[in-house]
Amino acid sequence: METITRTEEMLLLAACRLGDNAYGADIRAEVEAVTGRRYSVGGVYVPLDRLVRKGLLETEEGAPTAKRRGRPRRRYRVTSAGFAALRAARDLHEAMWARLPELAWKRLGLSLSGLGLSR
Amino acid sequence: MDPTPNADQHPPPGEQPSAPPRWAERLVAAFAPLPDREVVLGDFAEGFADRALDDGPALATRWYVGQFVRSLPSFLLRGSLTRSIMLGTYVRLALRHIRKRPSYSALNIGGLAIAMAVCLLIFQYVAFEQSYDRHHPEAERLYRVDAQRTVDGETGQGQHSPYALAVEINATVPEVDVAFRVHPNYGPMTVILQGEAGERRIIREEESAYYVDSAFVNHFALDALHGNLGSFGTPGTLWLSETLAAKYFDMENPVGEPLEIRSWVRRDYTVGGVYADMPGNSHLQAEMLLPLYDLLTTNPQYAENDGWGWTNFMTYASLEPNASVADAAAKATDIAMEVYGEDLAENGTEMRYVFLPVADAYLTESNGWFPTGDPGMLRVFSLVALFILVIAWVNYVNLTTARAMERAREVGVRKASGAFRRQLVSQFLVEATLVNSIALGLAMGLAALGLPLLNRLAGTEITFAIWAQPSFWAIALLVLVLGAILASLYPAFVLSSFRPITVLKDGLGTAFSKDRLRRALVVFQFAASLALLIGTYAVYQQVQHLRTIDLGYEADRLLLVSGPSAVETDSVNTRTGMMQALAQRIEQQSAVQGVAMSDNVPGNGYNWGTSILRSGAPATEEVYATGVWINAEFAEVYGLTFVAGRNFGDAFSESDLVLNRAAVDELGFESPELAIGQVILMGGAGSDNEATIVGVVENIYWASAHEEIAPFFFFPRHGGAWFTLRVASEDLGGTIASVRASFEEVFPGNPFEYRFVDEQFNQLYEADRRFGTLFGVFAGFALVVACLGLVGLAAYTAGQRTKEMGVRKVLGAKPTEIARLLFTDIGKLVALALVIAVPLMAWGVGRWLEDYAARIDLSVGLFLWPAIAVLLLALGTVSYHTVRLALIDPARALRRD
Repeated sequence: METITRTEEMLLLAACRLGDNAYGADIRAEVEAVTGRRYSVGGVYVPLDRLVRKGLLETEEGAPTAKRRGRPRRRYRVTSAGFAALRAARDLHEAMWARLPELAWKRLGLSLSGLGLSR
Repeated sequence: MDPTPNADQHPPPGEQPSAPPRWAERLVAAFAPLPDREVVLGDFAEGFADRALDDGPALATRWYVGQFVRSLPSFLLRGSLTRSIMLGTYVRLALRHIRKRPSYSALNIGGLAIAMAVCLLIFQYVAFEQSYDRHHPEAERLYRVDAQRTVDGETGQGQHSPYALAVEINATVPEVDVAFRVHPNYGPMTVILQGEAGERRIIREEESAYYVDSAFVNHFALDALHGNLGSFGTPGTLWLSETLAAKYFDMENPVGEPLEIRSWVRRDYTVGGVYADMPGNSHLQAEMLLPLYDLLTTNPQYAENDGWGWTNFMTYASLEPNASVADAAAKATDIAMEVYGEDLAENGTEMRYVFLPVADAYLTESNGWFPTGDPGMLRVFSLVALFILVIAWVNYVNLTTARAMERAREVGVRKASGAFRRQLVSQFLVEATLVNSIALGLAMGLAALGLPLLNRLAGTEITFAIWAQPSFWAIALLVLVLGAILASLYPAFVLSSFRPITVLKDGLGTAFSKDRLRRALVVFQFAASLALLIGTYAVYQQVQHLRTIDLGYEADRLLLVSGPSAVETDSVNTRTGMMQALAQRIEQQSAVQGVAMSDNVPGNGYNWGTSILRSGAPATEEVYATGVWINAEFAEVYGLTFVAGRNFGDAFSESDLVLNRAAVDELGFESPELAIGQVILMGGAGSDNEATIVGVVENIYWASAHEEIAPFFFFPRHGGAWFTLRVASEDLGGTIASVRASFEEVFPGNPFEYRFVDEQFNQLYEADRRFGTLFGVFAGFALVVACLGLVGLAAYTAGQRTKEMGVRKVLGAKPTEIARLLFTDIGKLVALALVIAVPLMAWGVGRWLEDYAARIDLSVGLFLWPAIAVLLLALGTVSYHTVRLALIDPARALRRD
């Protein structure tokens, strides 16, 4: 299983959270609200397309609305491969964090309990 | 409607959400890549509608445009994949089209290549002219101190400054790191070398030698080949350029070799070093450098008045880093005002020093020793380059749209089979880019071949490959992109906007019947060609005018022979005596009708320039005049006309003075007769140098006819630096040979140098002639390119109208009528071009001529002949096809499809 980048993880999680409302514009808004990262209206489709090509997302044409002046919208859905990739990413994180010695935690100003992780 | 909970939050049911402006949507539509275009447009519209509701349409529009700009990189990035696949197809298709019609493609590419090559050469020339003096170390801090004088509201700038200025600047102006002086060896110098057998080799050296302060060698880029530059300035040692060293000495390293100089300095020298020849783009071209110290010690008399009276130096100043140029110039002016202030005020002259960056020295108009370039000429040439390029692009547009006829079906089929308009436009863009690129490649080759020719015509030494410069690639890219876009947009849009059904059914006839734009473009081409031709003709006429102007004497029969460079004299054999003896010997030849001697000759300068004033008149009536010393025979040999008084006799007083009419007029004498016997103060108010007017001569041209004939004076003397011989026009070669024999007998070892006065004068118009030649060559190429286009267009038109002419013939039209019809068409276009070009050029040529005191009139002929030439050229170009059409067999014409 190939690892995914931070950006990809972020976008996949946003699509996950939005569920049936994971349209391009909404993913953009979600990412901005959580991370502060501001994609341009056209720019958000670049990484989304890459995820589609990797098979982590699939698309579905949505019906047009008046506000969109009759233009179609595109809904994204996380594929099973996408879920697997998210799980793998989380496992990797936890494994890496878990290997840190206690001293390093203290240097980082964190406590083990604060993160709810167990060794 | 998709049942999404947050989709229709904002507009209450029944209300229309506001729409983004159409232009903004088009912008996004033009750039958004295809697969997502509709979705992206939807997102943009949705965002706009939400914002319009909250913040109003103005802010929403700003958001829209801002988002577009921010999305642009992604649009381009995402499009590139699809695009690169399409590009391959486009390139293949374009190549197929280029190969399919070789003659048409050759016409197109050839025209573009020629135009681009000429543009490249012009660009190279302009770049060279602008590249002067940027190669010196710390050139950005190096300035020449020029004097700006304002008299009667007219400001002039001069290169000369007095001997003392640099000294004072060094002592009192803290902004200046070091100021140093340069003194040209005005005129030729005599160099005497030891020959191999110990004999004296006397050389009359015309190449420029300079006396310079030693700081010069640190601030002008000099590349020492032999010797140590640090030692420069040792009295009695001089430095030679590589070329001059090779001319004088037959050895690799001549350092330490002796030579004798007789000129402003007269002494023995040794070679201190050899430097590489200075690059052609240096305003100061020194072939020999001598210590300024030697000049000052040889001529101490000039250093009187603390050196403020010796004013033919050039002063250079290297400023301290970050010092203020304005402050330095103001302080230098203050220094001079302390010395000259009173005199200047009395004359009503304002003067100030300006610090001219050395990199601007060549292209700044300033009177003096150094020739200056002409920025106006560079602008004219740049404009010509642009004209040629546009003419070539117009060709491309015309030929391509003309060819649209043939390709209409292709486009129709492609559209019918679902090609998008964007793809068609791209196809044409790719084709234009390809054609332009091929042309550019060819043009670079042509330009490389043409460079030696340009160097010869322009008298430049351009050696650098222009493609080594980054600026070239920037401009080439710009030309390419601009050319591809400009030249392809119109054909692309015209072609791609055809309605497939109409085109497939009826051909292009109905879809594209009006070719008004094409005709407008042809008119532009004619107008541009005509303008260039008028310009060429006017420049040619003006240069001819200068060369054939009545100088006031018969210049082509006056032979100039320079006097001896080095003569061994004693109390019996004086130099003057020997010259007179030679003059008498020469005069005995039947082909020689007279021999005059003078210290200078027309077209070569003068001996003295000073202010002159009527004795007793107020200082404000001072007139600046220049003069020479002549002997008694001079007036007769040159055929000077005395309007009053008399010539100098063989016995004369040294204060006898002959003025020209201009001087008498400007001094304020009521008539030449009244001037005779009057006393003139040579040197102006307060001078005790008095001269008496004994004669007044009619004006003659002594210097270039660029300027009005200025006040001029003659003083008498027996000898002179030059002989002028009035010779018979037959057997000039024989005459010159026998004069040479006599000369070498009297002055053995001295070089015999001669030229005719008209040749001497024509050298003064060398710059004008060059400008004329370059302009003519460039205009010629513009015409060639325009004609290439016309040939293509004529072929196309002929093809178009074959059927029409067939029908006309069937209905009884005679061949002559048909020919007239076709010629009238072209004639109308030329007439329209005439109306555009003539007023423009009348204005432009008029302005150019303002620089000449002796100038041609703006006559009808000046415009008529070029107009006729263009008309004939146009008719000639189209005549082949026209005649073919006029004589066409109607049966064959109508049988086609």
